[in-house]
Amino acid sequence: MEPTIWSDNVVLCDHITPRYRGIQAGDIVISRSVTKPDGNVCKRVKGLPGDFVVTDFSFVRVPTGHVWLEGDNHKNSTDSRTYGPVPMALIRGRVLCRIWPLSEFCVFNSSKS
Amino acid sequence: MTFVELIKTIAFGIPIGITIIDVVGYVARVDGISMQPALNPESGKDHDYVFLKKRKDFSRGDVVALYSPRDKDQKLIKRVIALEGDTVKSLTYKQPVVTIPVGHCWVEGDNASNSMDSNLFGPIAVACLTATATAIVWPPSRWQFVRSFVPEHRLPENFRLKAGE
Repeated sequence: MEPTIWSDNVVLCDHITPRYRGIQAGDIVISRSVTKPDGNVCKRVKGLPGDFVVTDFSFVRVPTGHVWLEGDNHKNSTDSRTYGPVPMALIRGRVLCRIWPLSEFCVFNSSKS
Repeated sequence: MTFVELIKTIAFGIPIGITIIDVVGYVARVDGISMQPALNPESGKDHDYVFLKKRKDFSRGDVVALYSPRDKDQKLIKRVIALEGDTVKSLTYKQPVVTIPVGHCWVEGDNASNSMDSNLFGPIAVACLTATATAIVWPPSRWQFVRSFVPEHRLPENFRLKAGE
């Protein structure tokens, strides 16, 4: 997720707003990893169900109940471009703000960067 | 005095309750006929209640509770047929033979003709699985442990080869 979130940053994850207003494109989310069931990943939502997403050579339609996750660091990110759309049930929450290091405190808004 | 004690009981009880549900497990009702004959053997009768034990690692044959990949609010109960690296012959999926990718598994209901399972979704991320059903706790006439097995005709292909040797 560099350069938005760096290694060893501490972020605050919000479980409540995704429940009420749902996930929106551009949100940064924490999701359980599809490839490693014990691990979590932090990615940006690029596509919602029904959206068409551009991959390297083609368009992919995001199926019902899934989202398309991509890291901000395109060159070095294992994400939906590798393992395809991710079920929404795996999303644990939305990343709200960075709380550590204190000097870099910021609130993340859903920008489509 | 009693009011304060009541507040105290609630203040301690709720976190303990949530922790137990989160870490140990809970009892849930089984709806539908997809797991016949193991669960809900007779459609018209009472629903079975099963104890779902929270787990992180799953093996072939386990009866598991999982979130539907199609709808995050829907929970399903199915049997794990194959884990990552296995090869299964699907029943109605678009690919006739599926090799399960890393971090995924293949789940099927015992009543394959009436089940929303991997034959519809394809391989499912193991992270979607939340718990294993260990025992039927209600009604009393159905008290028993849930057996873990893969039906003979649904064994993954790589196990069949071994058996043939």
